[in-house]
Amino acid sequence: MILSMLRNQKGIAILSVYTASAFISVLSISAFGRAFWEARHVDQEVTRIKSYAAAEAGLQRALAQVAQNAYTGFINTNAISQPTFQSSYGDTVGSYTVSIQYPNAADWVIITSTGTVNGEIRRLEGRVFLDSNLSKYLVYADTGTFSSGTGASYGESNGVDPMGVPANEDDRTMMYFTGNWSITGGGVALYGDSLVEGSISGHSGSNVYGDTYVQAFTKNAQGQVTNSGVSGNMPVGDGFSDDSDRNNDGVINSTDRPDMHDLTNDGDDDSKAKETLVAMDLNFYATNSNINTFATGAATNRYLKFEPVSGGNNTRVIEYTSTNYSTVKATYNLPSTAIVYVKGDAYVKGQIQGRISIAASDDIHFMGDVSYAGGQTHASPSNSVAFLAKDILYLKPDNLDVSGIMYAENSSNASAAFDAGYDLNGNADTSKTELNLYGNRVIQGGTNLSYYGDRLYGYDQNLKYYRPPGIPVYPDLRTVRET
Amino acid sequence: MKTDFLIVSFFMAASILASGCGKSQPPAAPLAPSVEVQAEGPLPELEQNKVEPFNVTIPEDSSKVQVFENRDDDHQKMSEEEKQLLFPPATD
Repeated sequence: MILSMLRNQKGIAILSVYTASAFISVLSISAFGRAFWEARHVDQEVTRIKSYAAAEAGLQRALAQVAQNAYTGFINTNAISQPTFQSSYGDTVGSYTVSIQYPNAADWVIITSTGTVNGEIRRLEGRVFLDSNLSKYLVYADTGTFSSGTGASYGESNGVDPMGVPANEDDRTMMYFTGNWSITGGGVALYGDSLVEGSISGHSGSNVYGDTYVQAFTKNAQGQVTNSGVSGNMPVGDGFSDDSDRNNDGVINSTDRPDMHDLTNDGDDDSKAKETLVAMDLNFYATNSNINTFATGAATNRYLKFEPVSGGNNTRVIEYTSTNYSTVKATYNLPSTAIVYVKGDAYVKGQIQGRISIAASDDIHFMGDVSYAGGQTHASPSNSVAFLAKDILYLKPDNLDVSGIMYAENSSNASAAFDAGYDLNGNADTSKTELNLYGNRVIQGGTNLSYYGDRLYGYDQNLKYYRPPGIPVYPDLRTVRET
Repeated sequence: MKTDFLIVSFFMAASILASGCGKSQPPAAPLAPSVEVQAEGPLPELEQNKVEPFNVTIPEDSSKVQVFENRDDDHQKMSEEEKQLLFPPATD
């Protein structure tokens, strides 16, 4: 039949129509199939986006939870479960669950949020850095002019780099002054960077082995430095060739004021940003003390010695009746992470095991050395300590070593918030031998620690990571990735 | 000829039917919110925004009265004037 159709014009026409019709049919069916597949694919993508949004919502809620108590230093790691995640119209879309890890109670929080929509699971991991200006500066002094006297040594040389400080500025010791920094004598050494909101009055016989960031620093329109912010012909430099040709004369030399920078509000270019100290909430310590007796009743002086509990991971507090530490009044075994709040003055010495914050409604008197278990001078994941005084920190022995975060709010507005002018019996003593501090000092006002002939203010970087309880932090979301 | 006409008609109808399948669905209805949104006024509160206070495992004792003060019985404190007379100038 087909052969007979091919023998005339009508037959060929019919076959042509058949062929065209078949081609169009195939084309139409495939187009329809493609459209159907695309629609299905779009549906899947919408589901994936919804589950991503659910996971993101969980991440945001976890961030709010972390931030809620960050001002006290406590991180709430309770898991979050939201079985009904809703759309903006109020329809149930899916669910999310969140887990929060705080490894070693250190400086990072890891948030894992899982969003589920119609069986589609997406998981986001956020990493939050906990930043604290109480535990990152060797000295944070909030005063008009902070004076450093002959022989004061801030930080220590690492013995490796050209000037004893690392190239990475994040790893360096830092000091911060809200006013001016006045170096009144020779032999003052800073192994690290200084951030000064006023200006630095230096001394030619002293050194800053690092960079200076000073608000008085100025440049003209051509980029030439017109005021370095540092006077007194004091050498400043970190020993690294990381400086720029500011005056564009083809050579980097002293006219470019290397290693000297501006301190600005936003930290742009090669400057650093100004920082405001988080106010301590000592009421928090009062309401969360682990020794109830010290926190209640009339203000009372407490004479305390700390010692590690043998075989444990905590500290025993031995209370004595007076400053001569001869008659024991009571003993208390603290948990491994503890707060000791004294309503009154706290007299302290001994060794710390665990993470402990000691706060006083008035003064804290160092009556002897304070170190960590085994005589260690630096904090560790297991051991760290803070001494937080509403008023003054007194440093009394002739030779004294103290480790930890030291905070003096100076509520009486005394000339010295860190006061070394008295001996163990409370009599005036302005001629002492040696002082070694390892940690951070936060000072509202000035000090008179130059009564010690030799003074080393050592920096303990571990306190940045292994903070004792209650030290305020800023949670800062640094990275988010899908896992 | 009649057979040819029937065959052609069948294929034409089949192709038209096939090509028209994509349009066989009724046109999508205009999108309308399932919840009526008011032009003004507060938005409806969503379930996930109803955040409960988090339970922090910190022992609280509201009976403690916090008094921060400088007490007169601290014999070791001198007035700033006394310090000026007794203590030599000092720095950090």
